[in-house]
Amino acid sequence: MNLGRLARLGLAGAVAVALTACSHVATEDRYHSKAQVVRFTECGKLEALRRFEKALFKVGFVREVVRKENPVPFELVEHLSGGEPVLVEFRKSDFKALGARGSDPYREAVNRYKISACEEPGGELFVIVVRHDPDSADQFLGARMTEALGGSGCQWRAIAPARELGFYSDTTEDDLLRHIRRGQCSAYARQ
Amino acid sequence: MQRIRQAVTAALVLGVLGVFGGGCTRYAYTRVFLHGEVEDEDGRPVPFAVVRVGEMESISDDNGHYRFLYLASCLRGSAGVQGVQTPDLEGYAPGFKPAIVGYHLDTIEVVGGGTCPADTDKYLRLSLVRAPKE
Repeated sequence: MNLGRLARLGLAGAVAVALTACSHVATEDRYHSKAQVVRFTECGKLEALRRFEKALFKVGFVREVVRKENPVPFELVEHLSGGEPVLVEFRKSDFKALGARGSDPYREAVNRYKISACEEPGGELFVIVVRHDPDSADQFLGARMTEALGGSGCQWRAIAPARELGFYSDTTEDDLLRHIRRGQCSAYARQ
Repeated sequence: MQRIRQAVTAALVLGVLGVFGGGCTRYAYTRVFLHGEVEDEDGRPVPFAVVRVGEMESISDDNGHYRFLYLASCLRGSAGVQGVQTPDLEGYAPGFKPAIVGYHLDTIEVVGGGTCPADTDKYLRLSLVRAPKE
């Protein structure tokens, strides 16, 4: 056998075995089909959104890196202030102890929500949360909005129970962002 | 020819190490609670700084406090666990230079080497330096 080829095979084998051995702990990260939408009323939209994002971090959510350079603290606000629409992934990990020694002692369960803001031409602001578990999306938004806007004079309301918003199964994230760019937020709320 | 021989030898060694587990030094995970304050050169808190650990981002609160919870890999050497693999801590805020700092997490010392702790609490101040005005 050609020596160069042998060398490549050896390297490939080493990398493959190492990658397999180093695979990360199992996570639950699939998205399915549901979303929840809320609408803000009687308040400054940017301030309401800023409070909402702040509330997420306060309860221990982190977000995936959105931009490598010049990161901003409030991505959803940034979008409404003239930036491109984004679907920001917020997640919170819960580590369940398995009691194993000498191997992986934890199982990591990741709570993930993808969130975007959408403003209609008339000025109404919607917050869209995409989540595999619709009931959880409902509760998540309710709890976070209450935390964020309590005592602020801001009002918000859910457009419909999340389980009734079944658009996401055949809608890609790009589709969603395209609609948001056009200000077509109610289209989701009516479905 | 000499180079090819060296490449073949290196590849075979790597392959053997991979097959027998030495190629991957991950031993176990430790649950890391990384937290602290973002502050300026004078020790004043910097609120709403973007703080990054690996692919995770958070922001400092009104008092400059930040926190992360993540799993880190313990590294195994010939004499037991020798260290914990940690992503750098990065901080960004308008008017300040970006800051990137590495940090060390202790393992538990036992006879014949170290062992991976189940949990690690790490407090770390992140100091940001003002950028010169242009």
